[in-house]
Amino acid sequence: MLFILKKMFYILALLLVNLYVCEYVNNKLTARMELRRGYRITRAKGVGFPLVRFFKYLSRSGRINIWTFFIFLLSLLMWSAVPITANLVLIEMDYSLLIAVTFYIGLIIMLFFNLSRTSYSAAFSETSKKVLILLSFLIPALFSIVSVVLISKTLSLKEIVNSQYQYWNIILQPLGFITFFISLFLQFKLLGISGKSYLSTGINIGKEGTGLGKIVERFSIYMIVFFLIIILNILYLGGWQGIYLIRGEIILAIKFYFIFVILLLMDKAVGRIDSYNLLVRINWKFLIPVSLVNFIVTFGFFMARDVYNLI
Amino acid sequence: MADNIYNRIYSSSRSVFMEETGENLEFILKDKIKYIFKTGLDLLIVVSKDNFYQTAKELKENPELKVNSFQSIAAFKSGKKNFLIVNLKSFDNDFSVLLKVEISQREMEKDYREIIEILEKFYKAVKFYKHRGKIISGDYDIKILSRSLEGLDCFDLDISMDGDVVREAYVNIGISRIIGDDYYKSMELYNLITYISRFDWKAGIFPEACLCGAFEELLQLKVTERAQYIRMLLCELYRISNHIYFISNICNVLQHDIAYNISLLERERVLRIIEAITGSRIVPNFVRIGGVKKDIDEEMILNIRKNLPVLFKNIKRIEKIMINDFLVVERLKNTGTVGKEIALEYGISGPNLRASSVRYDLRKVKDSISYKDFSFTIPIGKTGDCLDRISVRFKEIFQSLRIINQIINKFPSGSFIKKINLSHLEFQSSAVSYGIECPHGLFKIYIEVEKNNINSLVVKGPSINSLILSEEILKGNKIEDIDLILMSLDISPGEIIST
Repeated sequence: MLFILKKMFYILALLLVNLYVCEYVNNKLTARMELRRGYRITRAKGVGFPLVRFFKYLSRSGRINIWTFFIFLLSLLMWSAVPITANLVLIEMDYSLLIAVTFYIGLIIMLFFNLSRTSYSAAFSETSKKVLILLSFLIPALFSIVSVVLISKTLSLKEIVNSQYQYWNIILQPLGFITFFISLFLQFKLLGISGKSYLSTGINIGKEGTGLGKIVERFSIYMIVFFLIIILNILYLGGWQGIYLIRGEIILAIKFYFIFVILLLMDKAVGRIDSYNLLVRINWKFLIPVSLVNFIVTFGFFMARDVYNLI
Repeated sequence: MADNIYNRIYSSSRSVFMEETGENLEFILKDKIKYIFKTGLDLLIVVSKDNFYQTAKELKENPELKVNSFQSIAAFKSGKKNFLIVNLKSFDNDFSVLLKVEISQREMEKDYREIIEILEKFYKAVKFYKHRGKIISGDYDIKILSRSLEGLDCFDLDISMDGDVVREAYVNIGISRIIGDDYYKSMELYNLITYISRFDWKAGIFPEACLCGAFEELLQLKVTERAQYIRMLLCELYRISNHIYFISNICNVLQHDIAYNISLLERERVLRIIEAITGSRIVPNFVRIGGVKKDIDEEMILNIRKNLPVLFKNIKRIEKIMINDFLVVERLKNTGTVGKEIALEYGISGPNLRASSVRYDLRKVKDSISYKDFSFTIPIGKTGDCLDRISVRFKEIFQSLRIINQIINKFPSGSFIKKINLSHLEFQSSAVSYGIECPHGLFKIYIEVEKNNINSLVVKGPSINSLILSEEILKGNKIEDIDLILMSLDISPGEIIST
């Protein structure tokens, strides 16, 4: 029992430290790219600013509803099945990938309902549209995940990492990696880590929420992005496997921050995507066909190798 | 002879054309009008209220005249009488008329409504000037307050929706109107010049140049060549500054942060040059009647010459970043399309009109400032959507840079101001209308003077026409595109607040 509590404490601490660092890096980078000076309230190059912002949000009176509670719960529960390193996993099971993805889809739906809580009747069509679009970005991601599963013949995330001891999956599945990364990037953009959130435009202008509700929303958005980056690492980039003498944890951290910074830079370089038509077009005319081709090729390869023993 | 034409002792070909048109009009509208005469840019026609309908009908429906564009309407007080002045324009025959109608003091509102009703039969855009309290306070789904539109904080927008598509849009500028016609009359002339540059704080030199130009037209005063060159230099610099600011606003709407930041930096570069010349960035207070306030020395010209290639390179870079990004192009293409006929009907001018493939620029038409000395082209668009409006402005920036390059290469010597004593001026009883091509469109001033005081001064900025047009083109667009379309029309809040 104590063992599990210890692990839970480790995971929470890791997430919180990461959250702090990412919030800091995010704000610093956006300030640099917008040619601002960045934080001026706190000294020491604004190290304490995320904390200041946290207290600033807390000091505002904000209404909390039932969705906020669910969001907070789900964004923590999501990490129960995901192995951060070889030993740092709360529950070890064979279907960890399946459970993690289920939690993730649930979280996104909760988040949308939370953001459109104010006026259901007017915003319903818009909200359902947004849910459908963001969920439709899951389709290419799921295709690429299934392709990886077919290659490594397992649903356990730990075993997927172990199966990459010779070479990473990115070499076997370049198309899958590209589709997964673009879908990750578009979700990153839609969630609005830097700058305004896309979800709160249109009818929901100025109803983003303040106080504790806002903190939980932001926390959950970060959790989704962390989750996606970790999954990308595990599926394609070899997870926590060490290189020579360097420990796996350090390698994972380097990869994690590399991808995070790349996403931030891309977010700034690409303009706002407002029109649904464009998003739907990108998805159905580029991402889904490419991932489908990748899946079919992988499936053929899988059938030839493992079912008919041709290769 | 050539010098005399240049000094405007004898009339130029343009004014000969205007006089001929005036004679033709007088012949056609013989019984219906009181009298007609040429006032600078326009032909002033004085009509009684009873004959107004027939005059307007004749102007609109006569195939020889084809007055198809409604420009503006304004009320003013001259002495103890109230007047209404209506500006109409024919793009086919290239002339514009001012219809001046007297309205009675007692039943002012009733008369005003009658005239608006008459005009509404011929021109669509007039419905903006009707009393629309009931329409605006009626049923709408969304009210966008002025503060939520960044950079356009001068009107409220009431929208009724059909799903997420705009069915009707109403612009309400009632919140922001601040001054009346009487405000100018108590002002001294030199105060007026300072005050009027606040009308357009995106490009402050143009109202000043327009006002001073109007007085020079009244006095038949020839400005020295050096002063004209300095004025042109500043006009082009402000045009560049305004267009870059416009592009930065568009980038802000698109949240294209990189182009946004670079464009603001380039605007800063232009504003620094302007500051070195005039001593001020936004409201220059630089143009005087008969010349300009200060001279330009060699050091400033060297500074401009150094900055020109840098500006060209960086703006080219911004254009490349924006136009090569397919996400930006997809967003801008086919949104807020303004057809050629609609553009002419609503009387928009400047780059917005040129984007709808109408090649009309006052710099080429009129010879008041010597733009004829330089070679430059007038870029036009094809379809008149947001992308065209942006690319036309990019091209205009390059043309302005080209003009500046020519100006500094042949900067004439001589005095920069012709000193006149303003305290003892006496005019004959006359009226003049003067226009200038400002970055948003056609900036116009109509002055009536008698002896040594200004009886009336009517200022007409171009942005109000774009705003009226926006009601029409917002229909059928999605709610996400509203701020983009409004921003792409380059509406200057200062004009709408104060005119």
